[in-house]
Amino acid sequence: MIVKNFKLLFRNKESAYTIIFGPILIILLVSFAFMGASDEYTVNVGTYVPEVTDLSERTIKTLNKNNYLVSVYPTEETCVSSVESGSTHACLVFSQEESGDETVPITFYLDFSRTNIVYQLLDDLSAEVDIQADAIRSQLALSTLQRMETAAIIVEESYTTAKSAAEQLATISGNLEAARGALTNIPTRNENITDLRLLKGYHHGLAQNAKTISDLVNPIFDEARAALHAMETECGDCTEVVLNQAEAVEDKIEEAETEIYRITEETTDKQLQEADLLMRSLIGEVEILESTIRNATTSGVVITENVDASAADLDNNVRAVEQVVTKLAYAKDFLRGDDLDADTITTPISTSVVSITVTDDTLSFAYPYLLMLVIMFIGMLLSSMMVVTDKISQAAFRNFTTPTSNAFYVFISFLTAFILLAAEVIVMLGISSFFIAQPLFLNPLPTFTLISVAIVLFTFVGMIIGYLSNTQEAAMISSISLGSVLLFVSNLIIPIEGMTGLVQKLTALNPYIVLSELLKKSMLYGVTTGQIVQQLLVLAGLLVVLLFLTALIRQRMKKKYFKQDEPVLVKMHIPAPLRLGNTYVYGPVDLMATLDKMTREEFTELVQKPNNSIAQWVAKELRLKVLAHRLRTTSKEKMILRLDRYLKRHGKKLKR
Amino acid sequence: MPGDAVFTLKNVNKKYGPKQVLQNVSFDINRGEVLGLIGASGAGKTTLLHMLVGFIPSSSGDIIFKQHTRKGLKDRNVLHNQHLISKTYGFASQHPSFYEKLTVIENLHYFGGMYGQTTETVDKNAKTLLGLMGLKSNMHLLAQHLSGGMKRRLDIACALIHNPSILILDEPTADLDPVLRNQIWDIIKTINAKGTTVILSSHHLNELDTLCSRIAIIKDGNLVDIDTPEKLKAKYSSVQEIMIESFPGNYEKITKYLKGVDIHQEGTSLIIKTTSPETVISQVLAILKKQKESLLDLKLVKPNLDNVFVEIYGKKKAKKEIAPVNTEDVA
Repeated sequence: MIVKNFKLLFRNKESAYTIIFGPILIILLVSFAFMGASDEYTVNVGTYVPEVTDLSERTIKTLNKNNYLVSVYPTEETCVSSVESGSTHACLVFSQEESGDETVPITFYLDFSRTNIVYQLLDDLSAEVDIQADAIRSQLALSTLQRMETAAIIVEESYTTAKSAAEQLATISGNLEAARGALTNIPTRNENITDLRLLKGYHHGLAQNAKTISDLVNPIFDEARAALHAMETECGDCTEVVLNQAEAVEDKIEEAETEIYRITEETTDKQLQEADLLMRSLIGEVEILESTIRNATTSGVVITENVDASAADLDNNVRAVEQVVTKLAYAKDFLRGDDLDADTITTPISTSVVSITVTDDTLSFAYPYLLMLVIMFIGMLLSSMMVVTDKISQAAFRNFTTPTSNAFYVFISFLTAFILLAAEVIVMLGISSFFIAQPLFLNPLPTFTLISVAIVLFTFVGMIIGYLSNTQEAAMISSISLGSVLLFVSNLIIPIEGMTGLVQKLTALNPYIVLSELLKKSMLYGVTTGQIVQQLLVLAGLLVVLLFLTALIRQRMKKKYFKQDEPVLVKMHIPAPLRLGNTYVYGPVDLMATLDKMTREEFTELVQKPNNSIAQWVAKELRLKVLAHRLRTTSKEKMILRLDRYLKRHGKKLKR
Repeated sequence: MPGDAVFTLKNVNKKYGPKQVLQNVSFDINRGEVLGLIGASGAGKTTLLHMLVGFIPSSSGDIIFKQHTRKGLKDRNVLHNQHLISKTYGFASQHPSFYEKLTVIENLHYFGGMYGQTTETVDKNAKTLLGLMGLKSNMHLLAQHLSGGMKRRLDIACALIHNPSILILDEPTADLDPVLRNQIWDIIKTINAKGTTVILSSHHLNELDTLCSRIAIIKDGNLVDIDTPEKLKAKYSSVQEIMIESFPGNYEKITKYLKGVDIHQEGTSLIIKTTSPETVISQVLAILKKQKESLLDLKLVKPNLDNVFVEIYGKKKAKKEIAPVNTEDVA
């Protein structure tokens, strides 16, 4: 039974090819796709740098060095769009506010729908940024240490200055204490000064007396002077002599007045003696005072000198202190830096990750791929099975012979599969909506357009497989094989970036990738129909091509269907019988029996012709050239003998 | 209109690789006739039928379909006018061709639609055909549940659903028992009686004998002959077979007396082949009387298409290819 099964399997060439070579082909294709690939994917990174900084330059340089393909975009929007469009895997946006030693914010825009690569990518990029952060961290630590060293030197210098100032201040303090002592020794009061007040009283009495005399005499002198003046004025006739006399009188009066004044001033002798005594006493006092003042002056000079010295020291100290203050302020500023804090040192670069998708639901990320996967497999399997079932059915002959055009038949078959598949997809979407928060209706027009295009496309592909297959098994395995190849060289299982360069380029032609990426954009990024109209037009063109291709293949299948008897007719050889008298001979067994019954005369008449009709017949009709060669004899017995030997050797193979 | 050709084959050749399947085949098929094609397996009968309607192109030569148009009879090469002539014929191949998972009426509706028939027309034709084929009571039965004969009738009904003027049947009674075969032949007669030209191939030669207007014999891709059954029989098989059974069955005298005549014993019967059966029978009866043999049975088998076939293809080959022959009692 096993032998029978194998024979049945391998005698159906298509099944044999599909079963044996299908899996081998898949493995070969997949191996080819990933041959030479490594875990280090070629990752395209977009960057937006509003202001070129050392960090941004270094980061881009490092990324380039580590096999990242870095593209710099002019705006943040174009950078993010590049991730949406798939031309880059991530967009790194450096903040415009970055400056000095502050923490630098970098935003990663990532496509989290690419679940099979995004976290690896995030890790890789974070590692790259961490390298930069480490460098900055080291730089900041070094800078801090340098500042502390500088501050220590400044503080040390300030300490010396302050110490010196303290010593000087101590000296000033001593000097001032001495000045205070000196000031205490300067006399502030003399008792004998009272006597000078008394002397002032005496002198006042004398002055009063003299004034009394003066008061008495002065009116007289005034009257006399007035009289003389009147006489000089009124006496116009007065001679010169008279006038001179009057003037002489007046001079005398004036001398008298002066004398009286002098006397008044000189007062009495007693008083003068007393005054003299007092004056002598006063002089003594004044001499003492002069001595005291001389002493005080000496002390004042000393004090002044001390104070001057202290003032000078104080000035120096003030300058020193000011210097210390300045240095300490500098040290403070230097240590503090530009608000350098612990966070800045430990986390010099702050990264934030932003998803470009409209949803954060992880399942939703995979949903477009899974939906397209289901459409691809069901579409191809359903349509291929439907077509092949129809093709190998009894009704195929009548379908091929009716006047219905190929294109119409293909279209109707397609429509049937489309309706079925569309219904299945609607059911799937309905069921999945209970389990997955799929953002199907966020962008319904492009989403449903793409789903429809996918159904149409994979239905046509399945139909082509169906028309090219002759058995259901072959159609099924072919569909699964093709689907598997399309699946393996897609983003769903292993990232495309892990494939070899040529295969990566070829994947652009993989309809599963193209459609699932577009569906993802529609469902997760919310792209509009207008944004994908170009791709839709290309797909529409492809669908038209597929329609004509399917019709063409059906046309060829129709021709092939009526040619299926050809191989049978070509291979089938029905040997014409050999007529020997009234007997028809069909094979060696018949021939030997007929020869045996044949009389010598009959043999001579029928066989022994110039060309030996038996040998010719055996060669031409039975196609037994060796036997024909042996039968080229004129003896009936020899012919029977040779036939008998031949039959004994090959008899089992011969029917008669 | 018998004699009015519907197809004309002119020097038609067909080669599959090195194998010449048909060679210079030329004949007409007349409107309204029943033309039978006979030949050994692989002789090219099916190929010829397929070529007739353009399923397979000829390697050389022309097959012309003569179509009645408003402007009169117009010759159309079938190969280039398949779409035009496809509505004029119905074709039932060796294996029934319909959907097993559809009911009888559904199959008829489906294939009627494939011929562009309106629902009303299909309904009308289906009703007629179901009555004609005896499938009315089973019209809602899935085709897979029909018997072999019913399936064959359904297949013919499907071929006739668009009311064609030509019906082509490739081995319509293959694998059917005699009762079912007779049913099919009766149906074909009825269809032909309505004016439909019938072209068929079959291995049941003697059945074709009574059914066909003409028979074309194909051997190794060559058209050996085409004529009425009677003329063919007369042409290829004048030898008649006499079968005698007597008691106690001593046939030695007869064998000795009828020297030179093809005579041999099969069991208890004696088989004599002769072109003058009357003379031989009288001689045999005389010998039997002389020998005091009691005559138990005497049959005269007249030449039929089987004999023609044997004559053309050879005795043993014919035995292998043809179905059992009905004998006609003459006793």
